[in-house]
Amino acid sequence: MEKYNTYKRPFFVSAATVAGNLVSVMHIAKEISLAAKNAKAIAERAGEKANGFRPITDYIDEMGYETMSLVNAINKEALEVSRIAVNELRAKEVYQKLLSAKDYIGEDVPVSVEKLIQEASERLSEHTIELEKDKARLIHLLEEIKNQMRASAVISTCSRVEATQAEEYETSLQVVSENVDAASKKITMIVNDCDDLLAHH
Amino acid sequence: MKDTILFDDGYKWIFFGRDQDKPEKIIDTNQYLVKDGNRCLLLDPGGIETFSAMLASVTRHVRLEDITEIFASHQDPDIISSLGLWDKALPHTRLHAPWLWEGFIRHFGCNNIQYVGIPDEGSELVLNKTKLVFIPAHYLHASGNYHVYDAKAKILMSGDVGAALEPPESGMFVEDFKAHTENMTLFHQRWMPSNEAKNDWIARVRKLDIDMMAPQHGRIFKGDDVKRFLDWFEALDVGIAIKKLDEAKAA
Repeated sequence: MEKYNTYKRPFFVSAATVAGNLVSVMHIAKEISLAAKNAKAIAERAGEKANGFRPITDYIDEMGYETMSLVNAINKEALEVSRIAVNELRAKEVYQKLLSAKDYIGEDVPVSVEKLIQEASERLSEHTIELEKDKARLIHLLEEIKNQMRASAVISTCSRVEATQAEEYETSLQVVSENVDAASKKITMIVNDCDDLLAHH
Repeated sequence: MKDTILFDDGYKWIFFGRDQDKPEKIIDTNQYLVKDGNRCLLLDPGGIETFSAMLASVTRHVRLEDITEIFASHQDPDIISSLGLWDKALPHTRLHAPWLWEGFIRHFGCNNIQYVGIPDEGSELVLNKTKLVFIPAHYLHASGNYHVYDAKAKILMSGDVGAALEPPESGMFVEDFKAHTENMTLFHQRWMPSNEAKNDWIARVRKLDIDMMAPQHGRIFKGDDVKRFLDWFEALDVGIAIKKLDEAKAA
C-alpha cells in the first residue's frame, strides 16, 4: 500500500477516475429532476399561494436535465482523454525504445532507423498536442458544471424566499429548496475533486 | 462499458463488459471484480484497447488502492495485454497467473506488480473474508490455465470455457441453452485442443456446487444451464483442426 501512496498517478488514471466519479453526479442530477417534479406537484396543489415558486420548478427541472446531459458529455470526454493519454504513453515508449535501438547500433545508424525515430517523434508530438487540447476541453466542461451549480445556489435561495409565501405549503417547498441546495453542493464537491485530480498533472 | 453486480452478500462479484465503444475488430471480453472491502481482485482485466473503459468502470465501484490482486487465467492478449498499463496504474498489486507463463506474460510489462505464479495443482487466495480457489484448467485452451471458484457465492469464473462469440449488444445471461450452443460449438471445437483435458476438467468441476458459470466471452450460465453446459461439452469432440487436416489429406 505504501507503494501506492507514494507513487505519482499517471494522467490516464486520473482521467479515467474522473469518468468514474461522474457517475455519482449523474445520480444526484436525477435526484434534482425528481425534486423538481415533486415541487411542481406541490406548487400545483398550492395554487395561487405558490405563484412565485412555480416558474422556479421549471428552472430546477431544466437544470437537472442539463446537468445530466453535461455529465454525459464530460464522461465521454474524460474517457477519450484517458484513451489519448494511453496512446501518448505508448507513443512515448515507442520513441524511447527506438532511441535505445539507436544506441545499440552505435555508429553508422542506417537512414531507415533515423527516419523511424523522426516519425515516432512526430507521432508523439501529435499525441501530446491532441492530449493538451482534449484536456483543456475537459477542464472547460467541468467549469461549465460548476457555473451551473453556482446558478443553482442562487435559485435555491430565491426558492426559499418564495416558499415563505406559500402558507401551509411552505414546509414542503422549503424541503425541496434544501434538497436542491444540498444536491448542488454535493455535485460541486465531486467536480472540485475531479479538478484536483487533473490539476496534479 | 456495462457493469452488473452478480453477487452481493458481505462482498461483491461485479461483471464488466459489453463495451459498445470498443474498436470494431477486437473481440468483446468479460471482466470480473471481487470486491471485499479494501482487498479486491480483478479477474482477466483485458487488453490494451479496452483498458481506459475498464479502468473508468472499475473506479465506479472501488478505490484503485483497494485493488490489491489481479488474476490472469492464461497469457492471451485479450486477457492481460493491458498489464503494462495496470503496472503503472496499480503498482502495489500482485498478479496471480500460471507459473508456466511468467516469462511470457512479463513481455507485456511487469516492473512494479509482483508476479505470483500459480502452481500446476492450483492454489487459494483469501481476500478479507472471501476464499477463492484457483482451479486447474490446463490445455483449456492454454497449456497453463486456471479458473476461479468461490464456494460461498457458488460462482465459477471459467475463462474461455463456456465462451461464445457474440456482438457486444447481446444479453448477459444464457436464456435459451439450445440456441446458445450454436454460438459456442465452433469456438470450443477449435480453441480447445484436447478431449482428455476437457474430460479431466469436467470431472473436477462436476464436484463443485455452482450457481453461476461466468466465462470470459459471451453469456453467463445460471442454475440448470451449468449442468446442461457440462453435459454438452462432454459430448463435444474438440481439437478439430488436426482432424480436418487429416481429412483433407485423405481426400
